[in-house]
Amino acid sequence: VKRGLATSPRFVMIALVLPMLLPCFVSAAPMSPLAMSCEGCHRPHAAATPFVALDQLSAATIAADLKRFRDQPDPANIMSRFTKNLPDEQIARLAAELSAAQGAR
Amino acid sequence: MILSRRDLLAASLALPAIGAQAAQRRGARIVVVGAGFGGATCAKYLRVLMPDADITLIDRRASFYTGPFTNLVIAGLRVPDSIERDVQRIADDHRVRLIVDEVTAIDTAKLRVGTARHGVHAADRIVISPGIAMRWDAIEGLDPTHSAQMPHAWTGDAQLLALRERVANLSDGATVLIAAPPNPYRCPPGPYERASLIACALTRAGRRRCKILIADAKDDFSKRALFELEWDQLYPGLIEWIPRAKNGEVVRVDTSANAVWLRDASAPIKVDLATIIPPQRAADLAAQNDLVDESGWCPIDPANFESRRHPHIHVIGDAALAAPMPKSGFSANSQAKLCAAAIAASLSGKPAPDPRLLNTCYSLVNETAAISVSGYYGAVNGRLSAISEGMSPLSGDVALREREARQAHAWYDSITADSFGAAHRG
Repeated sequence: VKRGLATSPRFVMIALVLPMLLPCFVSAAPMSPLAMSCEGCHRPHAAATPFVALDQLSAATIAADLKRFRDQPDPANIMSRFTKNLPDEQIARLAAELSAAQGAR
Repeated sequence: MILSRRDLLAASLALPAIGAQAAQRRGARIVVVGAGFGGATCAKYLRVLMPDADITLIDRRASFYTGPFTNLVIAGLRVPDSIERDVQRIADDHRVRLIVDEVTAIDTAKLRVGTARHGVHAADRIVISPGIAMRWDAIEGLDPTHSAQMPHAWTGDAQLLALRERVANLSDGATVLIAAPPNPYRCPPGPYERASLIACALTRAGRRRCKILIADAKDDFSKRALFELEWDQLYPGLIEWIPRAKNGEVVRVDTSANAVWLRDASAPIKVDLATIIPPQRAADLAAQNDLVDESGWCPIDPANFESRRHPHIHVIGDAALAAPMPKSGFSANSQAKLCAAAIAASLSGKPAPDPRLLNTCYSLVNETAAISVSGYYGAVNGRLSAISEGMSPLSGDVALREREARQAHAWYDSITADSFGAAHRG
């Protein structure tokens, strides 16, 4: 039986897989708005301010710092205010994003 | 599996479906009105997220002074040029088209933005970040023509220079009155930072017999306990706060006689300088285009800051109803990023971004001491709420206040570079 093009298994596979792969080649997933907001202070590549440039740090370091701010709360530290209710999995995601960030500029 | 030529041909035929998204993205036309913290940041991140989109930034001003650090300039602790931003440079930095012109009308159904001298611009999405307008009907005797005599310096224009000069020329023993507006308004701690920094300037100049009255339309204010503690320590007896409950609300002024009437007062207070910050609402652009509700502000869906009144039009920054976020430059910057991400996702058929936002408001109490309040916010089921908040501890010592002042200055440099591009002055 000759199948129509649209029902060809190979075609279906290609048609399904290509769109999934395409973004990998075109661009990485965009940063989350939260990670972008972190960069309002923590500018990528800007090391000369009190706000550390997070793209210079590993994800593990950022995650450990965020957990320390959360678990040893210090009201004098702005980061403790932001991380008070930040769950572990979100810290992990955020740390990975910020570590990999090249920044908008 | 080996792919035959026919398979590849079939795949290439399937590509247009994918390409349609890209084309849609490439062809997307977005008009952003307002080049302040909200609009400028949104234009920048739209360009980052949609490299091929047609993005137009419109502002009626060629340049403006930033709200943050306005009080330092007024008190003579910073030069005006250092907080001035050139709109063309912002657009160049963000690689978007700029139109310096008045927006005359927004066609909310057809998504068109009309300008006074630069035609009509059709868009797939419109973002407005128009800021605030003063409610001139609220205080008798105060209107746009008289306001400069009792300058608010709250909207980034030449009133800043006028107020700076008036503060510099105060003589010892002078009375200064700051009128603080009712909620909500731009920069909640601003009037109290203004009192602090004017007190700092007067103390420095040895004019210790001066008096600063804060006539307030409210019974509480942002970081009140912290401000009052710092005033007692730094400027004992210099600053007096008159809350609404003690008839602090300014109801009438006579700008030519330097007279200010508080509620129920039989006689006016004679002042040497009044800076009257009037009650506020969303800017005329929002009000005139059916984007405000009965509150005078713009209702939005906090998941993407799309107007609840007109689809595909987004309102960010001070004009938006985004409580519990304060109306601040940091809030506008954060909202702009969420808005840009949501528009980019929507136009390319991707899932909506996780709606999370940040804010910190630093207030300087003198040149080297600051206090702050911060919040982390999220939108769930159409409601914006604080996930966590906090402010500087009352028990903070001099070292902490100094550390926060260093952070405040670094924050200003960072957030303005993020929002407007690298500084070119100062």
